[in-house]
Amino acid sequence: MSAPLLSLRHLTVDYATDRGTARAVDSVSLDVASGETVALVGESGSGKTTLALSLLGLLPEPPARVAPESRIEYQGANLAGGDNASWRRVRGREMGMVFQDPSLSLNPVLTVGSQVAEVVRTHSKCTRREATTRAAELLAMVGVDSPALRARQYAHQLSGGLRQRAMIAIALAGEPKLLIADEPTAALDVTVQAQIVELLAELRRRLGMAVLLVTHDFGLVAQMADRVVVMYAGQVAEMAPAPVVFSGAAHPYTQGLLLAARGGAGSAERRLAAIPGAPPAATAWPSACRFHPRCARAWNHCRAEAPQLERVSEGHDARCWLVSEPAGETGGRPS
Amino acid sequence: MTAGAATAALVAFAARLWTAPRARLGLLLVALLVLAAAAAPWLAPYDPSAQLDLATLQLAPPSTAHPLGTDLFSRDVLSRLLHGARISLSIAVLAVLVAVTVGTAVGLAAGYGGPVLDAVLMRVVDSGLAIPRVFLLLMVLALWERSTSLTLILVLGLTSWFPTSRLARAEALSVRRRDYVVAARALGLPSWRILLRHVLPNIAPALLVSAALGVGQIVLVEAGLSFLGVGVQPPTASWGNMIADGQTHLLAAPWLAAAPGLALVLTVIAFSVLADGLQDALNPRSS
Amino acid sequence: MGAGLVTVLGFLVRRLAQAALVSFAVVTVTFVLLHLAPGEPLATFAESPYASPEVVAQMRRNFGLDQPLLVQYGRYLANITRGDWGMSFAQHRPVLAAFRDTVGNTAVLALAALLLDFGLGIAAGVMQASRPRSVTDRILSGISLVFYSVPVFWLGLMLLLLLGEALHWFPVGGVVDPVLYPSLSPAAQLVDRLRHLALPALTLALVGAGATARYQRAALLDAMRQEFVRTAKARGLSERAVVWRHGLRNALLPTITLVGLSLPALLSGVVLVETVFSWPGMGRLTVSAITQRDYPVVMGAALLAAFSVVLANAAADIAYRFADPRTREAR
Repeated sequence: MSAPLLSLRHLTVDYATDRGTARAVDSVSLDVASGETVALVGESGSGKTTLALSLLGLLPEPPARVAPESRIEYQGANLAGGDNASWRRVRGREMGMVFQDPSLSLNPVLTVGSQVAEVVRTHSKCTRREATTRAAELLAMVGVDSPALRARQYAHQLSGGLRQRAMIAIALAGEPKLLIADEPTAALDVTVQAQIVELLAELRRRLGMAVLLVTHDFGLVAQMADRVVVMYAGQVAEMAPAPVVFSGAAHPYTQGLLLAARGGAGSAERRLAAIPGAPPAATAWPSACRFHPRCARAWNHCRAEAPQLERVSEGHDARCWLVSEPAGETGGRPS
Repeated sequence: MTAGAATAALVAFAARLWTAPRARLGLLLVALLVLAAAAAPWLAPYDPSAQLDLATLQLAPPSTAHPLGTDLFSRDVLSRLLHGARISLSIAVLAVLVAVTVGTAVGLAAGYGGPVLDAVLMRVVDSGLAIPRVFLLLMVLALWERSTSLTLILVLGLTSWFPTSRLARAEALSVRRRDYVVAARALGLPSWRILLRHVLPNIAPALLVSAALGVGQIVLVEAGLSFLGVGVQPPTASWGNMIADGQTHLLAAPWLAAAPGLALVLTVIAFSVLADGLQDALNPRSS
Repeated sequence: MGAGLVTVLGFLVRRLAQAALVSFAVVTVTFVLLHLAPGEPLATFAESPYASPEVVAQMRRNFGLDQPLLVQYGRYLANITRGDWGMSFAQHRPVLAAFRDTVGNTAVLALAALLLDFGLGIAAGVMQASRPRSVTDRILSGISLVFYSVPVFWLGLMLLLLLGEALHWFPVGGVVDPVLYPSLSPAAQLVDRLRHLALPALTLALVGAGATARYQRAALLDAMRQEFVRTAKARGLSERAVVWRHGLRNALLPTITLVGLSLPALLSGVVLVETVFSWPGMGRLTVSAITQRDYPVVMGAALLAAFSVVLANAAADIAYRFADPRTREAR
């Protein structure tokens, strides 16, 4: 097994808030291999966006603080705790990021093309003209019609779908090996969502990039993910290859998400809301298992001791007393 | 916000005022200034218009007897400075009172009355803002000829109300559509009553900030007018005309012009800090 | 493109019409003030030692002072539009003619001051906003506050004292050297003019820059808080590129509007600064007109200043409209 492209070990992020310190990401460890697509799934408040931002050093410090024991290893080198210069070597060039709302993420007073071109020029030595040509090529690659014309237009002149395509082009302009996509379809119309998903899948095939897909949309997961990492309350609840998750998820939370997703039609948010209760606030995680207040299958031990992430089968880990053995007591567990 | 809630908000505002560090500093500075000005007759070592000794004490540099020296007529500069503070500050404060009163009245009328009244009043405000202050003041002072303190206060106040009116108008416009106002009108309450009880408490804090800034600005404007010779007339001491006196002896006796100028700077800074502090108390999260 | 041109023209027409409306209001206000003043209009000026009976009588005729108020108003409007702004009592010539000699000097001073003001203010604002709450930020904020609180005429005097009389780096008054100028080469003449312009322009600029810096700092901080700035960082752009290309490009837009808004304060300052530095412009003319009770000049100067402000604001709005791509083609 070759070394993973991105390796997170004990990644912990704390936020200073009025109500005390919130641990948004709690000792998360996961790997992304070269060319692999990993989906990071969870509700809002699960810490997935914070995690994504921390990968490029984009968390505002203060109030956020990446704990010193965290390791963010890209191609073996630890990025965590680095200075701005070391982050800049990685941003855009090794890891690119696509954000959720393209209308907010594009500078309104610069042309779309110039924003793509500036990334090209930042990461490779070429003339202005060459960069402009490359920008048009990139826009064409992401399926923008009349790329030369569109390059000269401004964000407000493009539709939501075109804007997101432009954002993807910008993220790819530095030729990164890992693309982090934070809810890439959340701000788009349903019809456009499907197009963007198509685009991402095709780009992944064509460019052989690794993708870290942060989303709550299981449709997207089904179409693109090789592996799924489910996050709840700042921790990894379950981690498995995609087919395994869809056919035999172990954690009740994952099962709940899948049930809600398969269930009625409607937007992904509505589907997720089908699990009763709400995620806990990061300043007050429940004791023991963090999911137990909302879990239909919680039993005594769930309220007593916090479960660890343990192997269920090859490549499949879960954090739940239903699948792992608590030391000592075995009685009382439901079958 | 209903009247009850608005009163509670004002009380909370006053409490926050004391806790905000800039507000406290501003209040302290301003209080010092006001005290010094008010106590001028007792603090000043000499009579400001007394010509002490034309033979030997003309343009004397600072000394222990005269910490800020004397001017061309051998008058003690420190005493003139303190009395000048009285004049300049009282004119500015009274003028600001006039400005805020007129501005609020006009703004509320424009925002709450009909569209025709609004259009007419706002054109007046636009033209008032378009004519640079000094030109407007010179024009008005030329027409009215007299330069008594009262005229000065009225003229300064009546040319400074325009920004306040915009503020009051915006608030009146936003409030008139609120449910409790519509309800009040349905009950037959007269407009002025509604404005007084509902709109005014809401804009009171913003008016205070505006007033604090306004005092600083008007002190500068009055000084400018006095400097030009159309404001406070000699021999009454105003910081502005003291600087004008100092201009003719700039190289020989620089303290004549420097002292009143510094006093002006410190006064304006004090009121600016107070205004910033009031602003902090208004929006505790905006700093 | 044709449709775009029509909307652009429509906007221009509307904006200029608005400017005309405010100008009209300004003229009306001056008329009202003239007639609100105690005594018969021009009564006090008839007492002016400079007002010859013929001039006063001519003004009476021109402005129709024995006619009903509405007729007077009409004639007044007509006269102003035609360029007949009355006769200067002191100079015995039309007011506009008196202005022709002085407007140029004031315009030069105002323009130089504006350039310096915004140059300094924007630079300071950017320095502050790129390192908020740092020592640099706090020091510059303090300096801005001081310059904002300084009386402009006093600052002028202090600069004159220090840089003019004490150090002799700059001359202490006038536009050109009264004795040497005619015999200088064109290059030296330009230098002489610049040396005379320096102190008055600097005085006005320093006071204005205090406010401009504050404004620019807030605008840039605001822009830097926007999402697209974080996105720009995520692409690996350098700190400098992020601040200048992304932050400042956006933050300079509101500064265009500020140019129009700073003009009234600048013109007020011009009157005082021209007096301090004996600069032969509109300001100094107005002040001497006041002491000479030459009312038509005072009123004319106020009108001219107001028209400049209205025009500058219209120009700023139009410029903004074209600078911001979001409003460029919008209705």
